[in-house]
Parts: sequence; structure tokens; C-alpha cells
Amino acid sequence: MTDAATANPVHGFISKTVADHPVVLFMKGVPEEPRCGFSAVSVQILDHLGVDFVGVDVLQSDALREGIKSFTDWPTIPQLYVKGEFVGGCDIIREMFGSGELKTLLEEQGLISA
Amino acid sequence: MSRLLEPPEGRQVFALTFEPTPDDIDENGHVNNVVYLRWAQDMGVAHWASRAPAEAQAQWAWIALRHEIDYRRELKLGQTAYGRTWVAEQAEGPRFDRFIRIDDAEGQMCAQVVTTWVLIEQATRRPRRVPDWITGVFT
Repeated sequence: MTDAATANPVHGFISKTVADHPVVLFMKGVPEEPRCGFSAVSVQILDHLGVDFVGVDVLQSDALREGIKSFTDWPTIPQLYVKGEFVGGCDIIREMFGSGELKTLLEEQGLISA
Repeated sequence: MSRLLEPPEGRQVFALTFEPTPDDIDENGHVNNVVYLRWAQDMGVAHWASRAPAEAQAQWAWIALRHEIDYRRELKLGQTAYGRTWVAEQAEGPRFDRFIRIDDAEGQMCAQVVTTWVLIEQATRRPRRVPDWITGVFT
């Protein structure tokens, strides 16, 4: 991924974004106005947990929409990053929320209060 | 990949040997490239089966997301392939990278593989974030 991030400007943008912000959700639409159901659910979960996050609208460019998939080798959107690490897509976010694992992860990372 | 894969110091390494069968030999008279991928998968599956408790194997499964393979030296019928596999230090969300090195009897690399697997829950067939205890099983 490092080589690709250097060679691909979109990957470079993604790398910088996830390095600069503790919680990033690459999504369709923006947090205030999601443009797919999976992105909307993911936003609702993050809002419910009270964590500050940056939403990046992949629909703003085809290069970004495809670039986020190749960056992680993960085929679906949304994609959640915490402290620079890929956590997963909507299914995983939802499952981790349901089990309490997402809250624990965010607490352990100091992103929400215990 | 340009460098030879070697397990980091202290990493758990799982080993298997393979004896090529006549069906593994192609028109070039050596083990066909596809066979190395099968051996790589066999090693990953065997590593998981040898370390994970039975209840974990019933609950979780792995699916392939990506394979990257280098081929360096040929193997022929009658030779033995020596395989070693180990995993990445950490998983990344639902993804977990596995490394496989297959050598000849002299320890020369015949093929090496970096392969990315995704953890899924058997009941739902949905991807799940790799929990720390699974990482611990392999490291």
C-alpha cells in the first residue's frame, strides 16, 4: 500500500486524510446528507456513540470512489478508519456496534469517554 | 515482491512438506504454477485448523481477497517442496495477510506468496473484524 500511496495521488490523499484525522468515514454523501442507506446507518452509529469524525464524500470524484476501494482492497463503501487503521464497512460497523466492540475500540483509542 | 520473504524473529511458523504428484506436472515438465497456490491455501487452512479451537472453526471461516505470487525455481516429480507460512503482526479490520514461502530441498525459494484473507462469520457469511484473540492464535 505504501508504494501505491506514493505513486497514486488519490491514495496519497487517502493516506494523509486517515493520518490527519482520528476517525474518518469514506461514504456516499456527507454526514449531514448521506446518499446511500449503508452510509446513513454508519453515520447514525458514529453519531450515537458521540465520536467526532470526518466524512469524506467519495461521490465527489470517480477517482476517489475507485481509489478508496483499491487503497484497502475492499470492495464496498462506506469504509471506516480509526487512528489510521481500516476497521471495516457497514456490516462490520453495525456488528461491532451491536456487540459493544466499536464503543470499546473508540474508548481504548481515547476518542470517546468511557 | 522483490525481496525474499522470511518470518520475523519470534513469529510462529507453520510448516508442511509436499510431494508433487504426476497430476501436478505440466507440459513444461515441472510443477505447474497453479499448484503452488493450492499448496499455499492448504498451508493456510492447516495452520488455522491446527491452532484454532474447534468451536472457533465452527463459528469463523476465511475467504481469499488477494494473492500475489512470485515464482523463482522449478520443482519436478520426485522432489519435495518445503512450505512455511506465517501471518502479519496485526490484522487490518477484517483483513489478515498471510505469507507463504515454498522452497526446494536446498532451501532455495521456488515460490512465495502474500495472500490476504477476510474473516467471515459462518452463520451470516458476513465479514467481521479480526478479533485480537485470533491474531494471538497465530502469533
